[in-house]
Parts: sequence; C-alpha cells; structure tokens
Amino acid sequence: MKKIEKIFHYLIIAIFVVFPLYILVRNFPLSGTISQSANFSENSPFIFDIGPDPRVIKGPDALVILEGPIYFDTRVMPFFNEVRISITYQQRGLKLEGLGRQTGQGFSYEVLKPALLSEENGWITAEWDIRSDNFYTERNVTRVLLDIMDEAGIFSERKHLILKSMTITQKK
Amino acid sequence: MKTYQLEEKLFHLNSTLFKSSATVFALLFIVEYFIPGFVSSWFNLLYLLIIALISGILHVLNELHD
Repeated sequence: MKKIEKIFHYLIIAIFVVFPLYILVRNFPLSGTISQSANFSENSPFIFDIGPDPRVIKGPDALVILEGPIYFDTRVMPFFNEVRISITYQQRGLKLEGLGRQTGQGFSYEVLKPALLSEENGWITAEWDIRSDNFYTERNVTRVLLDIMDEAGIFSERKHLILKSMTITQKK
Repeated sequence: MKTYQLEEKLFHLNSTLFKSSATVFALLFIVEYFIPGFVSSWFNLLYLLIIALISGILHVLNELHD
C-alpha cells in the first residue's frame, strides 16, 4: 500500500515537472517554426478576433468577406525573427489588394503587396514575409489589416471574397 | 482504522497535488506576465488555478479537521 502511495506521489510530481517542459518545447520547437492555421468560426491562439462582424460571415471551413477592409489579431512571439502569412482565397467581385502590418497605435498600417502569388484551380495563394520586429505589438499581439477593394469592371450587389485558409508561420 | 489510514494517505496525496499545482501555477503565471502568450497560447492557466484552488481548499479543510 505504501508503495502504491509513493508511486502516486511521484506521479503527481512528475506531471507537474513535465508540464512546464511541454510549454517550453511548444514555444521553442526543434524545427524552429511554429505554424498555425485559422479556424474561422472560433478564435485560435495565434489568429483571433477576425472582423468587424458585419463585414464577414464566419464558417468552419471558410470566411466570406462582404466588404473591406477587415482585421484580425495575431500573436508575434519575440523570439522569432520572421512571420510568414499565407492566405488562400477566391475573388468574386472583391479583390485582395494587400496586407497591412500595424506600424503604431491606432489606425496606422503599412499595406504590403504579397511576396509570392500563385493560382491553382481558381484559388489564389498569396504570401507575405515580414520581419517580426517590423510589427507594432502590445503584449505580443499585433493587428493585421486585409486591404480589400472592388474589382474593376464588376458591378454586382453580391460582391464578396472567400478566404479558404490562412496560415501564420513564425520562424527563427 | 483502515478508513482513517486511507484518509491520511489521500490527505498526503492531496497535499502533494496542492503544492505542485500551486508552484507550477505561480511559475507559469510569472512567465506569462513577462512574456505574454508564452503559456496562454498553448494552455489556459485557469484550469491549473482551479486544480490548485480545489486541492488547496481540501488541504485547509483537512488541516482544520485534524
């Protein structure tokens, strides 16, 4: 009985020793990169508060943007040097002009054109590589703007843009 | 007699649980305060706080009972 008690005793201690190590490994993965995809219907630790709500329709697999610009918050950890934001979308009357990095408090953004643009089966993938110290952050959180405009020559009341996926990768 | 022994053993286990969870909670809370997102990106510290609180309350009640 005493042996079992000791095992339980050490088991509890082991759990609480391993747990902070697990948090440490999650923050400093061996691969040197942390990658997270957005779940548009709920907040995820690195991509959250997508909105404003009247301009977007949130679904589990996609985000329908009815009007631009839209914003989301992302966490930029100080021990990573570079942030890659990758967005796959389809334009239906609205066009993604660029991605704005917050440069200061309030509404101050610098809109950047994608570094890489590719198209497959009607879906466009745009990628931005931004140095993490170029972001203005408050408690390691920065706001990102998606600059969305009307596509020239398209006149429709049902203009929208579908975001299929958004992935944020932080690397050293 | 046996029930008393079992109670005492559970009290010791709860005491270990309380000390471990409270220590780890305090440690992670301090880390989270200085590096926001370090812990909260992966784990909700509230769960650990609940474990520490419940085991702490049981620990105090046991001490009072003795």
